[in-house]
Formats: sequence, structure tokens, C-alpha cells
Amino acid sequence: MIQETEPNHTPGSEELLRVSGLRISFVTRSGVIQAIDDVSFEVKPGETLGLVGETGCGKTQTAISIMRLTPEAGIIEKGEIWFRGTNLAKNIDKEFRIVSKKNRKVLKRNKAKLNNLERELADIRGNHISMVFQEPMTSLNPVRSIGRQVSEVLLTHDLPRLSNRILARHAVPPEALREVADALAHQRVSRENIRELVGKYDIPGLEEQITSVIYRRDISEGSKIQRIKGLKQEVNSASLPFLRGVSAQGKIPAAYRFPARIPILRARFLGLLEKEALAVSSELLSMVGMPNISSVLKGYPHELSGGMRQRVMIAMAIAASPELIIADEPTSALDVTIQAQILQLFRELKANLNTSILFISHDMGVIAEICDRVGIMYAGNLVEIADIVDLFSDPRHPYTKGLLSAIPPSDRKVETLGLIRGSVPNLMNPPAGCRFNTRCPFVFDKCSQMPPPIPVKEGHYVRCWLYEK
Amino acid sequence: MKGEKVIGGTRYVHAVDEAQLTIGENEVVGLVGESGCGKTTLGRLVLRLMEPSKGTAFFLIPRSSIDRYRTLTAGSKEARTIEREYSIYRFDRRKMKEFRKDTQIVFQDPFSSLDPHMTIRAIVAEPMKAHHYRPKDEIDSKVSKLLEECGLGEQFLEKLPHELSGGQRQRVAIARALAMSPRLIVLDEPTSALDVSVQAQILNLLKRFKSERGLSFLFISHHLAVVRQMSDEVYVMYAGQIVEKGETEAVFNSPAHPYTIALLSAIPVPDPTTKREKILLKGEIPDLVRPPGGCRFHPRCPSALGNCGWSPDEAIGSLSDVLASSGFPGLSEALKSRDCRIIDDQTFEVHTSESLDASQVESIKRAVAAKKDNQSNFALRAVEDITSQSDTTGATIRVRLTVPLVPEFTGLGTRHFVACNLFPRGSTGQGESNEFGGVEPPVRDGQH
Repeated sequence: MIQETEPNHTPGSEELLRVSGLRISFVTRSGVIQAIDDVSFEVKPGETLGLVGETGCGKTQTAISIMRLTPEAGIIEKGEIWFRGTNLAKNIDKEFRIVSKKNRKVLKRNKAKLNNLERELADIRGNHISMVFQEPMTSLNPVRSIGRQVSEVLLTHDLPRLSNRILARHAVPPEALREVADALAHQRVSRENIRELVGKYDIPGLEEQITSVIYRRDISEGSKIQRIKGLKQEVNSASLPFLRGVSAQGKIPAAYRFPARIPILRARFLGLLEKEALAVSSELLSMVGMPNISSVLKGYPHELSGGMRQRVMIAMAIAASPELIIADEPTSALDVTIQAQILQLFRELKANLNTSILFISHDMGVIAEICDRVGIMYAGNLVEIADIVDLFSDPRHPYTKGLLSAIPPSDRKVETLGLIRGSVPNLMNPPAGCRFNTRCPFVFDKCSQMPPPIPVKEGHYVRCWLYEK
Repeated sequence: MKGEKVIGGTRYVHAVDEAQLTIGENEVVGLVGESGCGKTTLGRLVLRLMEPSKGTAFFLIPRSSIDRYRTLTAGSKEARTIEREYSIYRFDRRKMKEFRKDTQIVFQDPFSSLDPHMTIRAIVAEPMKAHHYRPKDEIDSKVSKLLEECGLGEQFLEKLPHELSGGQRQRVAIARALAMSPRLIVLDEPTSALDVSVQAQILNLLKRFKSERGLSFLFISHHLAVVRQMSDEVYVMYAGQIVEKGETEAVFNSPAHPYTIALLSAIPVPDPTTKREKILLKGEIPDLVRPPGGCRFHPRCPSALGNCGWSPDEAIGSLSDVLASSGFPGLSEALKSRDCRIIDDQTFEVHTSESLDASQVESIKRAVAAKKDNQSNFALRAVEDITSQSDTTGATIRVRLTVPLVPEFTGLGTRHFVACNLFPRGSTGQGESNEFGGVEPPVRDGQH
């Protein structure tokens, strides 16, 4: 039975995400597809873990199961997904996703439980874990402006931040801004410098605004100084209690819920936050290197190129400062020069935000550029996991070796590329034991049983009987 | 604007035509570029799946005729005779039918290029039926033979495309292309929809057919590593133009065009220990409805020169930025306003109500000179002269830009050509150009 809290979990423990023994099956008319079987890995804070594998190996299903976005036919049969002390895979014993006549009663009974789970998940999705998908055109809403889509994330997850920012501008003494502007005019300011300058005034949301102006790349030093000086902004006294309430409660206070919706009063209440969300959106877009931000905010997804759409997706993903970003083939639909730009952006975000990234790709080259550790998946199994350098210099699993030798090298011409014979097995009826045993050149009798993860060295595990001690 | 116009004038279609004749005997020509650069259009033009708005492509033309054709003026009687004989766009029904037998195409997406209603057997037999393959009763055995060569056994014959995996479908598409023993196959991104291990299988298969059957391929791909593995010669396209061409090893080992260099440096290397200096191109591929003048790559080029085709609009933008940060905010605003007038392709002037003396004009010039090496201000490299004229209402500044030079192909080695102003024509002296915009590769004698 799955426990509600992890027994050996301590709040300060090292990993951010731990997936263990995950098994997902898909129920289809022609049978049950065992898409994921016994997948375990962990993501540490600030780390980028890559998941590589071919089409249908289950890398995307693994990733989206972390956010419980598995399609309806998919059932998490077994396993735990621990994220910050919560098991996201709980309630799997009362799985309600298959709706058949027989299950309706169970569904009704579990409705309350389901709602609770959904509420918890809603808090985690976007707020703590966010996602960047492969095809940015289909994951952006075509009928809503970019500005509205990016600010929606903030309005859903980060209301206190928005109101804090407005309150900070209201409360900040003008001399503080002058001080910062002077510092900026005379020398280049560092993050610590600003923290020190702003630290004197205990105003949440102020430092963030000042740094975001200073680190903008699309405006000149002169206009930065002007912008900093112009940060001071009084708020209408009628809106102040509303904003303070939002800051304190983290949501729109009950007393304001109705007035905030009345069109005439909207500008005083909700409208303020919406305007602020748009301002934060433009900061986020500048962070992801978007040109012509003001026109992009008003524009719609179809007006942007693929690379720019992906930048919008990344801006939305980092909007609520999540601890974990799941990037599912974020560069696969892009051209190689645009891909290089987006990878550079991911590297900058890694360095600046210290976010963990679960990076899914089929391209070993991309993985090598961005990841700290990498897991290789084959037919629903995680066959090898290792430090990035170890994996490329010392691959152990026959599949990993085959995969690496099949990559066409860009720096030299080879006569024939390495091959993995045959094709991926049908997961409706996977081979018993190691799922690679139908294609493996080193297959022997023991391969009819599933090998456990065998340690090769610290942090390097391989699921292959060849390395059994 | 029609798709074919993107390709440009006569010479680009011709460039491929020459390459096609060269590959007649067992050559693979790679065509690389990013999406929207026109490589697929070029591939379609080669097969006359599209008609060009200008230009022609010759198929199986004897060496003597192409030599003769080059010396003729366009539209002359003899040129028209040659075109009638060999130009694929002038072929009559009978010749077109022959041409369709001799050329084939394999598309990128094996999921949409096979008819879902037909069995694999019917799909592969289709071209033979369409071309009245005789004797009829051999068709079946030939289908199984072709499929077997492509690595698919008898059990696939009666299957439908949806029962096959992506790699298997692409094998079927290749078997279908081989059915009429063509001379040339255009491979339009044949492996981009496939996984890397399957891609390796398909590439090895294609390599085998090349050597066993003496086939020629036009290999279109955005994947540079794949092109390097496959092709003998490579053409790099950018925004509808070929910017560099040559023997694969020469182009990959010593790329000359800044775009090629950036493209090569952008390939992610599957080796975490090598940390290469990357050239990150700024911006995106230009809109081909209104392509940039001069060299189409100049707005993104990390080493653009003054004569690469900067327009007054680009120069005004950079100049305005530079002036704003060097003490001329009024003039900077004026540049963005209606006070700024573009006189012709190289000149613009701006009127300001402030009066400007000679020393201020000098300091503008100095600011321009100081900032022109920043890549966002490369347009200032085109500024040739700044003059000012004072009048009662203020002053008028007139800026003259360098006349752009459209890059032409320059030979860098025996078989390596680049179209870039960094390599002015005749600077290296190797290889001779002809009016088709390149040095002619050896042309095989046709066999018609």
C-alpha cells in the first residue's frame, strides 16, 4: 500500500524529485501496452537530467506522469513519484481514469478524493513544476494574445508577487531609487550590490524589479536609469487594502471577490494585477531574449516563428519560478541555428535561476550540450543512467553503445554507421526479461530475466547481466 | 510571390542541373539549409514537380551541347533548339514519360507519402504498372525482390502502411522509388522523421544502393552530419540562394561562408568533453517575400562588410541607437520621425531643428566609427560619408552608404566555391567562373 508521506524523507534531503519503480500501462482495445516498467531516477536541485531514447520508448510518458498528465488510457500501476515530500503518484490504488459503466460507482465515491488530488496537483503544476513542449504551435492558445497567455500563468500562480510589486513601487522612497540610479550611472552594479542597496528598505518585490531593469539587454544604460527613477508609483488609496489582502492571503480576499468582478471597479482591483502581470510578462520575455517585446505581447502565436514561440513557452515555464522544468524535446522542431540559440537560453537560465531541468530528447548531441546526468530509455525501461561524461566515454549497456555508434558524426566521414539490428519490440507483448534481448548482440540465457540496476561506479547504473559482479 | 520565384533566376536552377549531370554516374549531391531556405523547392524543380518562373534544367545533356549552350545568347535560335532537346521543362509527353522513369523522389514523411488503402505489394508495383512494365507477370517477383533488397521480407507484402513502423515505411518508399531503375533519386529529408538507429539503417541502405546500382542522389537535408556522411558534393543554401558549394570534405573541413561556419558550429556534438566556441547567429531567416538586398545573409552575418547590401532603413536604425547613446538624443529621435527622408537606395537625410557645427558633425562621425564594430551596428560599416548643411530652421544631415556588391561565386580550391564578399571575385585566382555563377563541374556525356 502506498503511504501518504515518505517514511525516510527528510525535508533537507538532497533530491528534488525521485521517481521509483514507476510502471505505466495503457489500456487499448487491442490490449494492454506496458509503456513504462520499473523506471527509477532522481533529480537533484539545480541539476539537469536528460532522458534519451527513441520514439515510443516512454520518455515523454515518464515525464508527463510526473505532472499527472498521463492520458486517460494510461494507468500508473505501480511506483512512487516523490516531489518535495509529496507522492504525486498516490491514489493509484483507486484509479478513476478508466470510465466504464462498471466503474461509475467507484468514480462517484472517489470524486471528493479526486478533487482533492486535483487541487494539490493544480498547485504543483505550473507553480512548482512547469513544462516546455516540443511543438510550440500546438501548446500555445491560438486565439489569445501572447501577453495574455504569459500573464495568465502569473495570475493563476503568483498573485502575491504581483501585488507585492505594486505595493513596493508605492512604498519605496524616491531617494532609494535615486541611490540605485546613481550607482548604476557610475559603475556597473552587481546583484550583491543591489541586494545591499535595497536590503536597507524592507520592501518585498522591490529588488526583483530593480534587477530586472538592470539586467535587460534590449535597452540602453540611459533608459535603464530613467526607468529606475520612474519606478516610484503611487497607488490609489482605495486599492491599497485590496493589494495588501492579496499579498497576505496569496489569493483575492473573499470580501473583494465580488467587487473585483464589477466592470467599473475592475480597474481598481483585478485590473491592477492584470496590468502588473503584463509588465512582468514583458520582463520575462526580455529574459528569454525576445525582440520587439511590446508588439509581441499584443500579438498572437501564429505571428511568431518557431524559435520565438519556443521562447514564449520558456517564458511561461519560468514565470512562476518553478523548482523543476520538464522540457520535452524543446528544440526538436527547430532549425539547427535556432536550436543553438534556445540551448544557449537554457544554459543561461540554468546558471541564473538554479532550476532543475528534466530534459527529454532523442538527440544525443543536444543532451551532451546541456545535461549533467543522463538516463537512456529503451522500450519502457531505463537501461542506463550515468554522469554525462561517463555515459559518453564509458557506455556500458549494449543499447547505449549501439545508439552512440549510430549517430552520424559531423566531423568526419565514416564508411558505414553502426547499427542496431531489428526494430523496437511491440510493447503490447514485450519480450520477457530484458526488453533489449531480441536485438542485443551479446544475448545469453540469463537475459530472459529482467536485470536489476547494477552499479558500475558511483552514480552509474546499468541494467544488463553482462556487468553482474 | 510564387514559390519558384524564391529560387531566383536562371543560374540557380542551372547550378543544380550541372550538378545533376555530374552525379549522373554515381554521385550524391547534398543540399543543406534551414527550413524555408528553398531546398525542397529546388528538389521539386529538378524533378519538374514545379515549373520555374525563369531558368531551365537539362537532363542527360551531352557535354558538347552544354558547352555550346553557355556560349549562346539566351533566346537565340540555337539555344532554343538545345533547350527543346534537353530542357526538362520543354519535354514533350513522350520524353516526359522517359524522364519520369529516370527520376524518382523519396519524401520526408513516410506516414503521408504512402497510400493508406494500398497494400505494400500494390504500392511498390504502382510505378511499374503506371509505366507499363513488361512482361507483366514479372511484376510480382520484382516487387518481392525490391522489398527484400530494402530489408523487408515476404511477410510485409500484404500489409497496409499503418501496420509498419516509420523506418519500415521509409524502406517501402525507397523500394517504390527503385522500382523503375531510375538514374536519379531526389531524397527529400529521407531520415528526418526517423530515430537515430533507424536513420543509420536507412543511410547504410542508401549507401549500398549507390554503390551497387550506380544511382545518383540529390540528398536534401537540414541535418549536416547526415549530409556529410552521404554526399560527395554539397551545396549550402540560405534564403533561396546557394551560398557555398563544393566537395563535401572541402566544405566541411574549411567552410568559407560565414553562414556555413555558423551552421557547422551550431551542430550539437555528442561529446560532453568538447566545448566548442559556438557562433550564435542573431535573428531569424528573412522573409523571402522581401529578402534583404545584396547578400541575403548580411543582417545576421557576424563578419558583414560595408558593401554587403545594407539598406538605408537598416543604417537609420543603427545610427539612431548610436546617436542616442553618444549625446545626440534629438537627432536620434529625428531619425525615427518623419524628418528622415530616404532619397535613394544609398542616401538618406535627416532634418533637425538643432543647429550643428562642424565639430559636432565630426563627433557624429567619430561615434559612428567607434560603434561600427559592434555587431548590432554593422549597418554603420556601410556609411561612406556624412555631410551637413545648416539653414535657418536648423541643419540637415545627409548620409551616403556604400554601393552594395552582390556576392558572386569565387573558387577557393579546385572544387570549392563560395559566394561571399569576404572573398572578392578573382581574389584567389583559382577556378574560373562562367556566366552561370559558378565554376563548371565536369559534365558527363549524355546517353540519349
